[in-house]
Amino acid sequence: MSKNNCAVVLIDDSEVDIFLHEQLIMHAGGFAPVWSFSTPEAALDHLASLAFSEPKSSLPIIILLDIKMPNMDGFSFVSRFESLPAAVKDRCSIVMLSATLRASDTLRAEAIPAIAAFVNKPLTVNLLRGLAATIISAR
Amino acid sequence: MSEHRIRILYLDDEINNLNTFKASFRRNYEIYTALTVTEAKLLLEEIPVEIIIADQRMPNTTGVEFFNSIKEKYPDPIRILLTGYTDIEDLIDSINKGQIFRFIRKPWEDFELQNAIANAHDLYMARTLLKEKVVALEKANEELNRFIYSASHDMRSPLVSVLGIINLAKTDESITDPNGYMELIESCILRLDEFIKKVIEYYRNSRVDTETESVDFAKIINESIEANRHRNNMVQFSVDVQQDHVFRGDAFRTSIVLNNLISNAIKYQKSDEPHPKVHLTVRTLPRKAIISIEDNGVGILHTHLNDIFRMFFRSNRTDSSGTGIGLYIVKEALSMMGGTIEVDSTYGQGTKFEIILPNHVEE
Repeated sequence: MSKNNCAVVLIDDSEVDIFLHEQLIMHAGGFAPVWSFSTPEAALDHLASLAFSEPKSSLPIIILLDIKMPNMDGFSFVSRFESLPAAVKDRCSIVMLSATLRASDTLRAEAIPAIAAFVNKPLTVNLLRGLAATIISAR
Repeated sequence: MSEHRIRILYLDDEINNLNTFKASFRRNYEIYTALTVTEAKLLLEEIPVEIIIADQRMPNTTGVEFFNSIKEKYPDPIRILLTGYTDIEDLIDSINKGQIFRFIRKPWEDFELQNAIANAHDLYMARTLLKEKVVALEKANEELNRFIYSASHDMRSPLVSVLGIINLAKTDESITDPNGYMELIESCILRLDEFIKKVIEYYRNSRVDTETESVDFAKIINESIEANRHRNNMVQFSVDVQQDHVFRGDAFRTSIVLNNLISNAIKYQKSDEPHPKVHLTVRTLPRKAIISIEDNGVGILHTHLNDIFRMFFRSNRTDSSGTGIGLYIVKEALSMMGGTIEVDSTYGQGTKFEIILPNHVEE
């Protein structure tokens, strides 16, 4: 896998999962930069600022998004994400990550076009590589 | 039971009847009277009455017509019709439409009317109570639903984090573990995760409505095998499905049953068996499907055969990794489908389950 072909935004309210996913990303290789956020709000702010800080960039961004978080959940994040500037939005692919066993969560994720994939935790290095390959080749 | 007195609206074009009624019943009930339909409707806008009494014969309309005109807007009050004539067609019609609780002949006997009012009120209260219960039950159900999924998620989250960390430790080889402690931790975590999943499966099985649809046994079996194969890659499967007749049934519960049995057939193989095998057959008939699943695994002690479908039962000599809930779910799902299961097993040699499912193909 070539170097730095994809940026990652990590959104998870669990410190352990953030750490774990950062390590997995490192092992998988090819992801940089990695931006981690413990709240969806902070991630949205950062994504919105990209329109100004790197207006010319076309580096794809994978958003690894937890579903169940306090204040704002993954689905609310997605609906807020829709109103970001197109220049940023078009770079992003959202991957939902969850420990949920609720069938309606999976069905809901499948019904939302902005969500590229749904992964049941735990995430592994191989899953991550597979996701990146599919997302980049689909572009 | 109620704090207030029973509220009654009485509609009649003869003022004398209204006055007589008031005189007889004002002590017992809260009475509202109306001479015309317009008056009656105005009163209904303001006052939540429990019982409506109407005269059948009025100058421009009838009691039945009046009840008809208010049934959409005020479905709850219990209706009593007073009539001096036997307008039999109208009466039959309105009683059949369920709009009228009683009809009473004029001139009325006080005790008869009083009885009718008391019965009408009982019915009103019973219906109200039932409605409240239904609302409370729906709310409780919804809360349980939220609780189950929320609790299962919150229990699984830390478990999958631990599994992730174990995977990470394996990948970067940062832990020296000559005694295999990590494997032990992983197997315990996997077991707990399996248990949580089974509890949710049981819950879903008890909640999801039974739906009749066309069932593709070969597809369900192949999906189950693919989902469980990783537990033991040595196992050889032979699948023989002859779906000669269209089979209609509950595909969701059929897959729960087959998935649990296939998973068990793989899980309970002998560790020293050189050729672990699982053989599945399906035959569909006009009225039923017969499914068998046979393995050459550890088998079940004869004395335990009667207990294996009990909740949380684990055959302790052979079952080190089970949750004790899989076969219970199988039995529950089958009883919801009207199916049966039989088991035949020889300890140390293997187990055979035979299932019969009713075919709900339209006649």
